[in-house]
Amino acid sequence: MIPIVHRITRTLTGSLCLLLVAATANAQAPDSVLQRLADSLTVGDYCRVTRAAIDQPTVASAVSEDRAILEQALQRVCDPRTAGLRLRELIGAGAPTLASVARLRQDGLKTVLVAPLDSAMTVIFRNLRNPDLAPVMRAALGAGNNTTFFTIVNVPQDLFVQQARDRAIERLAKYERKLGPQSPKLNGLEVFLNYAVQRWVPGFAPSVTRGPSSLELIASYVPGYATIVADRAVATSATEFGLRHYLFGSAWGMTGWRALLRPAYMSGGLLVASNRSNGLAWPWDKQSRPGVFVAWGETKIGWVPGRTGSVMIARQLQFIPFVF
Amino acid sequence: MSAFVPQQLDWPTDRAVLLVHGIGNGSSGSSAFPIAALDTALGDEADRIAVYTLSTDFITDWTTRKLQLAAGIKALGSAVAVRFGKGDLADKLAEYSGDVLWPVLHLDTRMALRDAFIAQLQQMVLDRGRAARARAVDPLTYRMNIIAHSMGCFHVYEGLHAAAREPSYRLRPNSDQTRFANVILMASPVQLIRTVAGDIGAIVPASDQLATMARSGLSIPSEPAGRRRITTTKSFVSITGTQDPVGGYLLGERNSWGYMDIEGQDSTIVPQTLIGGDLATALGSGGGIGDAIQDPHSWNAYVTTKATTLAGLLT
Repeated sequence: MIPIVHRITRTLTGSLCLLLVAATANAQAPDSVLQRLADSLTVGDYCRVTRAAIDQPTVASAVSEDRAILEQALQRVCDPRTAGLRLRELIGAGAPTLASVARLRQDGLKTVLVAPLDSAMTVIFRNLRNPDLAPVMRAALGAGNNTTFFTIVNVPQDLFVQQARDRAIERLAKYERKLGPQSPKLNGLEVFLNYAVQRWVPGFAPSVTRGPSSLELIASYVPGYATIVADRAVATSATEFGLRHYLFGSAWGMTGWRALLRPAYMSGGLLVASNRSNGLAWPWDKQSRPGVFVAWGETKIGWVPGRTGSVMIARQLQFIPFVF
Repeated sequence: MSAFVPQQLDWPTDRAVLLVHGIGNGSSGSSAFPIAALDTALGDEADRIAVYTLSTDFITDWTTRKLQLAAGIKALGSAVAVRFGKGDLADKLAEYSGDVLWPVLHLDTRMALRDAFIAQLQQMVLDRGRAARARAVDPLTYRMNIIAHSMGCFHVYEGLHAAAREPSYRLRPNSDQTRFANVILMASPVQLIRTVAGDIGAIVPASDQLATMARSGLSIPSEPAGRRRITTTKSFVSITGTQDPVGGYLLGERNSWGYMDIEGQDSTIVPQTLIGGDLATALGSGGGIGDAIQDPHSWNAYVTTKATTLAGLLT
């Protein structure tokens, strides 16, 4: 067993050193070494160095309490059907190799086999990368093999961290879209209502893994609508009750003229407007009529059937801070 | 893409420290961080440590604009002032309390602040891995440290607890082997927030997700490992001054409602006087009493005063 391990580890050590030297000399992009290792190493390599480590008597003795869990995890990472899978593919990145395609002909099967690798590798990392075990590993494997071992075992872990970091940045981008400088301000009533729905209505609270909810309640008095009455453009006002839906995709949230095509949010709901057209007309008088509104970004269109000037348009704007 | 990009650094050797900004210094940007004081404290070793800085002002600015809560914060601060009832100092303390409370009250802000901190920690872990790989050294032998000040302590406390319990962050101390050599909290308001948030518990959303409000009390972040718990840090250090209200002291007196006292923490109390230097000289040179009054909450002063301690921990 040991000579085979030595041969594998020597080959890997040589490749790793070449990669490291090349990467250092060229001063490549920050994570290029990790990416190259992730592209060149396979789950089979991971399996071999891990198996070689745990088969060392002193290591086996040191992890005796967790041996059963480790063996279970090793069975998963040593599944021959995933042996040709590049480590980079664990996070769904990079094109699959021919070897991995040959073994994993169907995407469904790939998903079934790859998903458990994450948790299996976490179990291995937790148990074999434990600092208390480090001296035992070094003594059992020797300096060179130990370096190969931790270098390979760290690759998937760093890829998982990288993926987790990207998810955190994505969530922050969503928070920025919902709270940031381009987002609509809330009036006092909306602050209270949104606080309430975040606490008590499912679907409005942020999630640890997904980030903010895309939904926001609207309850606003809008004096900035315009309509046509007797062939003249006149200002009018309305009350809106509805929902704003933030468009979190990276293609959305454009500024300038592109925001017309790719805005940061859209909204819709009920509208109540007086039949009188006046910039500060109270929408709840005896001539009030209900209607609907939809908004695409900052551009809003309202329709109030039976009203004189039934079609109304407006831009998203807050006239008096904290009020409306 | 977010406006926030976690700071990425090349580690000159095997050590790094993350400085997390809070309230009190009143400004953002690099001048808000005690970089020069830390450099002086570390001496020749300063060049051997990668120094990260994290300020989350930009997130609180979003929320301030979005919710227009400035008036609300002031009102809340005034309400809190009743608890402390010590004249002008109480007013100042109430202002601080208001500043530190609102990330507790607004869920989106709380989570965004956490994500910014988590993303920075993840980047630090990745930078560590990159540096160690380039030297063919085990990255787990490299040392990561955190120094936070004021409200930054709250972000660190909450963030590390979240990191220890949330698998998707990949920062757990046992499962992911992410441990810090030192977590140093200066003028921590964590207990103060716990006390005040406890008083207004009914309006705190998702309080069960706040480690600061945990029923079991404050604790060093950790992850269970069989019968043991593996802590996020080997050394959890609290440093506060005897005149610093944010750290739980009022006029030289420690108050249990404000002083963070966690089992296992290494506590350092810095003796402080509100009037520093030579008052007569200050007055004689045409200055006022204000020129001689020291800011008990100054991050720079904490780093300068505890220079030897910091050098011992970080080098």
